[in-house]
Amino acid sequence: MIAYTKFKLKNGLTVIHHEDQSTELCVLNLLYKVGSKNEDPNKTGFAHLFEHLMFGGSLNIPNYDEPLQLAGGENNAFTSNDITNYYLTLPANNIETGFWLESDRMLGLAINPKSLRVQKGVVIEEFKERYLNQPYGDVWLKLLPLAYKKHPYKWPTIGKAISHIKNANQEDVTAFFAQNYAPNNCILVVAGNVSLNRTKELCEKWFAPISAQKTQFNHLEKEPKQRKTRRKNVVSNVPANLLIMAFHMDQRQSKNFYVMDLLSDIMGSGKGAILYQELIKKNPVFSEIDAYITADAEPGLFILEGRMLPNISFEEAEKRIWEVLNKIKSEKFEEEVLKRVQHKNETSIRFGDINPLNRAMKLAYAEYLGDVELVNKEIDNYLRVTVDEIMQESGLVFVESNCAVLSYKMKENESK
Amino acid sequence: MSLNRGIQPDIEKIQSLNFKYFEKSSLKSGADLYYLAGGTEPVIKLELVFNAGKINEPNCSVASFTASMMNEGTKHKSGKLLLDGLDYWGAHFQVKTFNDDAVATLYCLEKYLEGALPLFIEAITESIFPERELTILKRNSSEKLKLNNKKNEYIARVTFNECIYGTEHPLGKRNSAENILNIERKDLLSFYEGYYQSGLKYAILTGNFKQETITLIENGLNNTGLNHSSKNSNKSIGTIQKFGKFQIEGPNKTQTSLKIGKLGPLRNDVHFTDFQLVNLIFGGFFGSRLMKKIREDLGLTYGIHSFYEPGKVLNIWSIETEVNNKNKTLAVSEIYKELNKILIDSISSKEIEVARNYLCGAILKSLDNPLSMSSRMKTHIDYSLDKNYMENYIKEIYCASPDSLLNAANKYLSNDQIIEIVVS
Repeated sequence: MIAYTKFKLKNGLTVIHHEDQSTELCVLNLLYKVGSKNEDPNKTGFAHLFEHLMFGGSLNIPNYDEPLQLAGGENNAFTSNDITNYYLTLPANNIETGFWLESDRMLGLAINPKSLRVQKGVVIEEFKERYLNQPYGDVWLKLLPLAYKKHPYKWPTIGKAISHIKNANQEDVTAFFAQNYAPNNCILVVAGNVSLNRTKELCEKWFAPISAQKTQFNHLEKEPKQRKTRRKNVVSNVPANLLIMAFHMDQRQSKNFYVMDLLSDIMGSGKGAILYQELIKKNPVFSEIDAYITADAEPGLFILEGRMLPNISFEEAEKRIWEVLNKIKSEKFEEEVLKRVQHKNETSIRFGDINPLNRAMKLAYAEYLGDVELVNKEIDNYLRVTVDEIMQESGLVFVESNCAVLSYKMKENESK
Repeated sequence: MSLNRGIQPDIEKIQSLNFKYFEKSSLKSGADLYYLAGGTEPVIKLELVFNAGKINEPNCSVASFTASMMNEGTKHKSGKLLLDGLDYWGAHFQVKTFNDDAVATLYCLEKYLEGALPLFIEAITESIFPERELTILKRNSSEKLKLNNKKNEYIARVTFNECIYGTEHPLGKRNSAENILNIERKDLLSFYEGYYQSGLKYAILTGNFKQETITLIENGLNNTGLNHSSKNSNKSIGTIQKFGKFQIEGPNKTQTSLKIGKLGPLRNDVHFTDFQLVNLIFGGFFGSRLMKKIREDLGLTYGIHSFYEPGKVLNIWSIETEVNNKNKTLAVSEIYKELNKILIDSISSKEIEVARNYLCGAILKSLDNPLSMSSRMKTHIDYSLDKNYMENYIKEIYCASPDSLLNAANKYLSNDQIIEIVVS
């Protein structure tokens, strides 16, 4: 059980306190409710670019990292489709440095032309390194716009194109900060060896003076139901053909999320899983194959991704995947198959909870989803899933009209 | 009271660690079981350390193949049955190969250990390495090698290792599709017999567990035919085999992978702690000089790091980064500028203080988690460090001065005998 106390400051900042006296550390986790889905379609990649700018110095503190390191701390951040999450770990005695740093950058950033230019450069390098100049690196740039037609999940967090990052100017960036980086758009989790009183006192001192902002909650366009199979073929300099099939599924806060998450484990997790047994071992079509869900807050994707063996055609590979899917839909599998992934899930949740930082992140994300108590309900939510529910839901998800197929073909001369 | 946001709140130094020393008991085979309980979650991590490192393999991939096929079935159970059984108990295991040894790790909730442990032990002690599964592994590994050979980064790393260890040494040998094809079941079996069944070095238990659990594990391990081995491999080579600058044409024509490195100090060297600080300041953490200069100031890369890896064969120090081709020359010259600077100019006390406090914080963090604690224990065991090692280490960190760091840098980072690999 993860115990916590939740309270709100007058400026709208939600605070969750979680005490753990067994550690000598403390954690501050700040979840800003802004992800790539909140971006202007013509200015994508901003949420992530911002994550970089947040380390470029704030109103009163020219350098973020150095004072933190001086206090024995470490930090990092990530951006997803839904949120931007910042976290730091410190020796518990030095927690106030964390409050000082995080409150100042919530108050205001010191974005100057140089830091903007350099961070744009770093992000562009990241874009090239990870998404363009790697075999299969641009898979998400191709797959998402195929699967989504309206919803802003149609571009990846890095952005649609390098030009969007290149064109970001000082005004854009200032406006983005004002709209999104405000106490009333943030969830702060304070975890570790720190008392509730101390947390309240430090929140009052450092965060309460920051005024609330008028945040602009843009209405996200709902993704209309897909009516027929979508296909895209890509030819690229890769060592093997890659087949990806993506199916629309339910949102994070639904029973079906747990159903499909467990099914992705049954299908894809490890050598005992169905896909490995059927398509790598028994009757080999792939050299590697995986099933996973995107686990976004809003309706996301169930993805099957396999690197094909030489001399296997895309038609054959796809046909064989459908055989597996159709079997799942029509033949009831044993109770024990489900029990296994449920128990595995319980173990992995418990192992995750070892670390105060993980607990802090989980608390923040559950609160973002609308129910902080979710942190203590997840194991049961997984244990409650039944075989019938899996069959029923796969019957609705695994249909051809709900599928986007990306065929990633290697250039002809590569096969020699 | 007005709030002064321009001044950092007072900080406290980390002077001592709450380092609980681990205990041990002897197994029948002569190997020791080391254990340390801690944490709040009811989880168990059991590691069996074997003499089955890459260093002992007769040919490329033999060590890693043996490790990864340990879950492919035993005399009594197929691989599927074995894994399904472990899954049922919510447990899983993996066998990882390192340069010096191999570690089989079981992750499990304490309440299910009784069910999972016998399956884990059976997998590790009675593996049969079926022919059919080997064929699959060979096929998939050559596919993976094809993918790796498309990456400049991989080519840079392989070439670097060839320089360090030489092309005939197990740690320097380059893998090939042909080599993978030629691996036979008997190669794995003989490696398994020699370095697993007769190669148990010791075991480590961490997590949150009761006394009965220790007994359960002792009994489990005592009822196997595993033999203890304390011998170390004899493949020392003294120093790096080849140095110089190498420009290599890579498969990726737009990105450049850089790897620059040389020999670092031994763990028992008087400069060991100072050198760790020098490496940290130079390129070992986010606030390092390389990160500040090459990433934050010039925006040439997404990341640049330097590593100091003391090992049993050699202690290697190296820098790694990826840059766009057009920035290649600039990046290389800026790296050498930084390298020269650290040899000539004393590091300021302030810069040392930041690195030192950061390092102490990181150590505190590594001791905080019962599972990460096991890697600290492993270092203690492998290098026979004494009980007070950590406390002394912290003291040494606080003794570092601009002079001592300058000495360490000059002793180990001078421009001679450097390996520079540029793949673009």
